[in-house]
Amino acid sequence: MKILAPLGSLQEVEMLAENGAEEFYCGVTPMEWIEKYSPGVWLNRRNPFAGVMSLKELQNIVNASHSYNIPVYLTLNAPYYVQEQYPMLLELITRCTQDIGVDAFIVSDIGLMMAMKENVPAAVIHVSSLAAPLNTGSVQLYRELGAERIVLSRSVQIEEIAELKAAAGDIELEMFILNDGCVYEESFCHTTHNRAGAFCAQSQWEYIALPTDGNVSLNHTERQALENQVTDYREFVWFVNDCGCQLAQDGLPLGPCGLCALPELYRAGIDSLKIVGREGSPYRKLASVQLVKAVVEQVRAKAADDEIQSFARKVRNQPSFCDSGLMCYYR
Amino acid sequence: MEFAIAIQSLRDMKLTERPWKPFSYQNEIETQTQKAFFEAWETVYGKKRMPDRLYFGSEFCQYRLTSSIAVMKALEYSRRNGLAFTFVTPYVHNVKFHALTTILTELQQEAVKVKEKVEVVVNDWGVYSHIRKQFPMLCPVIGRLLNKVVRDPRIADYYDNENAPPQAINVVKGNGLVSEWFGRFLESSDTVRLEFDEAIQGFGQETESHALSFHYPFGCVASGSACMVGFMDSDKKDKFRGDPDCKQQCQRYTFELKNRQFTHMTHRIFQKGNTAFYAHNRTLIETGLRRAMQAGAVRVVYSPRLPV
Repeated sequence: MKILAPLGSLQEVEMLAENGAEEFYCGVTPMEWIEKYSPGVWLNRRNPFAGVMSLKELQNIVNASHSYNIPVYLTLNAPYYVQEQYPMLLELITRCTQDIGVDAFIVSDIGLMMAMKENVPAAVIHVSSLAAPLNTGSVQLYRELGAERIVLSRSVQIEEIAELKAAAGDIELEMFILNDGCVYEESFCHTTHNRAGAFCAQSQWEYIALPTDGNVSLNHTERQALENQVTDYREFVWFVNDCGCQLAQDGLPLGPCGLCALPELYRAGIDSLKIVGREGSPYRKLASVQLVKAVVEQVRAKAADDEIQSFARKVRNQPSFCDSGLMCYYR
Repeated sequence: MEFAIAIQSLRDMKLTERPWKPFSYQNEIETQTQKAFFEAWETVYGKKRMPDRLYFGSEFCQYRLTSSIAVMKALEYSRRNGLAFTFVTPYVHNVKFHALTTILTELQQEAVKVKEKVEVVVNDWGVYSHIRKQFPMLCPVIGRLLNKVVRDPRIADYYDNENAPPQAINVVKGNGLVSEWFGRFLESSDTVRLEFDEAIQGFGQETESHALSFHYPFGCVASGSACMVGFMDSDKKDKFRGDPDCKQQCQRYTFELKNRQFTHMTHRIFQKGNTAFYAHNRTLIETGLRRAMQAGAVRVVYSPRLPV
């Protein structure tokens, strides 16, 4: 069970490697892409400036990471790619595989998986959570398409893992452990954060409750219950969106967290734990890696479940947030 | 052009008879979209006509998956009324994947019995793959959730505008399913039909090689496991996640979402249960129907209700 950390620049490699990162992932958006498609068409799920901007810097990142024996995975997980984008994508994958030494590509579009297998068979595919691996049918499909790892969707819960693991066979499973949730299923959110920000950002919206059927009206009690529900929903989204994108007073990141579930994830045979937040500050990444590492070490030392859970709560140092239950990835 | 009507509950089956006729329990937005749809229809096609096909089931919520008894009743209803039948399915976690498999097994048996394939709209690649392997008498159609067209009413107009960055337009008006490589994946079987939401920014790609369906008058913005009204009566810590014992509160409560930042949006937004929708306006519907008329073989799918 490895700790997979996000990378935003070469300068972060040493800091994160020395503090517990065991795998890295990052994005790259070459200037040629931006010139061809504009900054609004993202090469991967995050905006171009959340990743590195040149293959030269990517090369330096891979070299530095490999000097620590840490593999580097590259995100190619835009929700879809159109036909005209394929030549540039395949050239990028070829260069990254053959020349730069990228260890795997995190891919969501089945078309791109097909193209990679045909054109760059040496390229290793990790299926992104954006491909909605939710059930044994999808896990089997992605395995047949040649994936070597599947990143399970954020909404997959602990009790579902055993069947998915059995379906995965000898390929790896990765799950989310820290930061940046999604209110909707990532694969089925058809919006863009470009220009508009997250669709789920609560500051944008006012909710007006209506009866689903037009021939009934909502009574006072129902309206009050729905108002309370909206208040709770806004609070839930606040947690999902990293508690208003804050760091805690002690510098630790706030937001979705699966640390208490680590013993179960370990026993379930999860291979990799994803820390989210490529676009976060170096300090946020460092604090995230240290936080996860501290709890993973307890698991590796075979501490009892309740000891691990109370340790996780202690190092998080946010008892009221933990008690709310709304900050938990796995609940 | 084939005209299909999409129904999510047995209760609504009567709406297939005269879908243009107001019904007693339709809400204000459904009244408005029904009027817009059939006015646009009359402008483009002239006379109203009865549907050719029934779509039955929820595309968006696994907890709205009906029983196989209900599916069989809907199939029987469609036969009795001279409608072709399509079973519509949502994305599913494993428990509902098994429940769906039970329904698909019964549909397969029925299809074998009458020696006629049954069409199934899939919104989950796992379900698609499972049908391909296990149910040769079921014919999967690629549902609109698997068709990753941008559907963001906040910025869609920006990309249907002469000031939009020209190099971005082909991508924003495009989709991945019609790429050569996705085509190879789909063509390894006999999948022929792709489903679309009518996109506010329009479409920019040639899609003639596929059979196409377009859904009206509600497009999906986003769908997920955090239902806005499920678990209403539970403690806060248990809310906003999938509910195996869902009480179907979405069938009682809906929200309209008013945006404080993008105040000039041309389409209203609603959230029903776990899914946000944009309601098509008259212009968008008419644009789509005109394109359908020119293309000829297109299927138009009309949902009288916000489709959860």
